[in-house]
Amino acid sequence: MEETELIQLSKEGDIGSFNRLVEFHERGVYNLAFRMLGDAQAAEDATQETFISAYRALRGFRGGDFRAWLLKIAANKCRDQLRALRRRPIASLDSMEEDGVSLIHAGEPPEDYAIRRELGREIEGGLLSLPPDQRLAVILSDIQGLSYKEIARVTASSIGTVRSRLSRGRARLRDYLLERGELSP
Amino acid sequence: MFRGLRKTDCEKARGMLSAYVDGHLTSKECEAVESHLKGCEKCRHELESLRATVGILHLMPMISIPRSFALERVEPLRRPRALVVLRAATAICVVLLAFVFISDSINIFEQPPVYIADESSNTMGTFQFPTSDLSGFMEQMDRWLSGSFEGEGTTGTSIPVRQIEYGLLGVVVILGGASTLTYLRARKEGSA
Repeated sequence: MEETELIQLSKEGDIGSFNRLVEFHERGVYNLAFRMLGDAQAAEDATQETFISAYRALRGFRGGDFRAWLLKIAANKCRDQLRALRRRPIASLDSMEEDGVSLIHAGEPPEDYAIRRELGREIEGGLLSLPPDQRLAVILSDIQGLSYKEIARVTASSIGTVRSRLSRGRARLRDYLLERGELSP
Repeated sequence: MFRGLRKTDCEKARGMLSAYVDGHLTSKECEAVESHLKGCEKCRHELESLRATVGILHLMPMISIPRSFALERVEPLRRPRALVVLRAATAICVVLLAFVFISDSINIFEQPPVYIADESSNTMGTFQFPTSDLSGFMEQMDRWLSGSFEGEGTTGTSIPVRQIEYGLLGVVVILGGASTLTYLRARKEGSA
């Protein structure tokens, strides 16, 4: 069944059809939330709240890019969670793996996994050091693979703003990685 | 090369490198950046390290989800009771205000002129407006508003139309503002 058809059925109250949409998009939404928040529990909460809000607001969806619409809700939920997270410390990548979040690729040698995990930890730290607007632009562009136009839609800003946030965010992240020796100067 | 800005060529070029990596520059901007890069080793290094950063980010794995986020049942959120009450009250006041305003503008509150027959002569009588009624009150109100009212007193039958209009207008503004604030708060919480 096509996405537009599932959206239409969901608008009519068919929760089964909506859950098919959830299946398609839950990984992308959770990844955005996790990269934005750096906390597995907060990311889980933000993801669940995103889908509940999306279901309630679905009648207001007037067509277009459903993923961008969903990610826009997710970005707002992340902002709410960030406010709440200021009051408690952020969990590390290690605690995330203790929570059962799998980062290992099937059949990957342990040494490669260790290097990737170390680099992943540095990038995670670098992303969290960025201001939220720049972090969101970098995640959407370089991890989620959205175009400038899609990012502008998700963040409700102009293409020029996206370009500027991305430029500053990447430059800051590069400096962060250079300082930690993850990039050769 | 780069014109119109006070920044140095290197600063301008570096500000464009991110968009250059993504192929999001106009052909003119692209030419300017490439021309600068040919003669600036430092900016070439910047470009390389930026490309490496973007390359690393592209390699970041998608994290597996810890559980399914499928919904079992979603209770529809009811609109806050306060919002419903405020909206109803605002609507009633707007209707009342419109009624009073229209009625006032077509002089519906004004008492009809009294026909007074002229008994001293055989000529036709004249129409006179009673001065102690609403029109008289309106004149008094005008005088009162302009500061020349000297407490002449009004009769008990007068209707303070303008006071009602101003009063209702104030109530509508207050209720409308409260409704808007309640609506915005409810919308933020996802229930409006």
